[in-house]
Amino acid sequence: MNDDFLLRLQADWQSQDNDADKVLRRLRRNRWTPHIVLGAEILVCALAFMVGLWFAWIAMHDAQHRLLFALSAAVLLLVAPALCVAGVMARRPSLAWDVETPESLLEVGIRRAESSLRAIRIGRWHVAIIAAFVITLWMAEALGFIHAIDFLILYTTVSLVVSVASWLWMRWRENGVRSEHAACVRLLAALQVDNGIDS
Amino acid sequence: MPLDAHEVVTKFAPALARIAASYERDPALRDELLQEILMAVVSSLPRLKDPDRLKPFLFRIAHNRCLTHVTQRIRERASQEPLDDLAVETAGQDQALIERERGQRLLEAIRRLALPYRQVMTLILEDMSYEEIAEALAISVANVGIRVNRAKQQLKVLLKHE
Repeated sequence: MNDDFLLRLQADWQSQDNDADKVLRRLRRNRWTPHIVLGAEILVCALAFMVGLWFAWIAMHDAQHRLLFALSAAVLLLVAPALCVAGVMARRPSLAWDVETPESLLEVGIRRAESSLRAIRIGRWHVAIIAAFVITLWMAEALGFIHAIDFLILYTTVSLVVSVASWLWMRWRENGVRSEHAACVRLLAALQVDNGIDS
Repeated sequence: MPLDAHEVVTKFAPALARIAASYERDPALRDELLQEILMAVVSSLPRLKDPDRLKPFLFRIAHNRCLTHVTQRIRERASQEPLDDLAVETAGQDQALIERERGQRLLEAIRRLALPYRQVMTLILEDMSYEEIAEALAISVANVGIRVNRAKQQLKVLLKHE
């Protein structure tokens, strides 16, 4: 390169201090962390599954609380393996950073943001599902199929708190995803204007 | 012979850190971004067929990872500080400080370039050829030349270089 301006900039650019060494040390130190976190998640799911089996055993042997424990066991036995699979799948590298181009990455970003927005809309239905489940339990209590008023009060309170918290989280997340989508669209437009040179 | 990932990341970490700095101002987030770039390099390296193409391969990964970071962090980015804030009096300061100051001013100016110009300029400053840049960014060599010229003009204005 025989451009004085660029040569000067190159010298200034390459003389910058940075914390690359610190990050390299941290990278070496933390190289097992993702495996440990995944292991812990699998362990928690396995424990939840075992609690589900225990509830199922209680449901079979305790006629008084059969419905309550059977329903709880069903939820745990279905949700624990699903969460475990989701945890493993979420860690699979989904992008080949060396193959993608800036344009393809932004297009992927737009598609992902759109699918996240759809998932958030679907996620809002969870409140209705939980409400229906809680109402069913209360009806079962009122009709005398189960006798666990204290447990139901606790269960209803926890469900309410979790539902409100998830609703707020989904609103916050939706705003973030919308910003991400707008950023991808804007950056893609900037790149495509410049790529007009190639066509 | 396959390249040693440890050697590659150790050798190129400072250059990749400069690329990360051109996208992220916050030091903690910048370190996090660099770590993600290095992890992406380590996991992608076995797919590199031709060791002679290592530089375009690494810088493509770095820019791709940074681009995703930008889109994900866009809402958290603080408003741009005026460049004049960095134009402090340099007389009487030692040479190292002046050099650091110039490097910092350049980094701020690079961050203000539009994405297509920022990408080519950071790669030019890492001493890459037009062919290597074209390969890293998946654009034509002619496009690289045009982008470099436009980026240079904008940098001259931003750095008040006449």
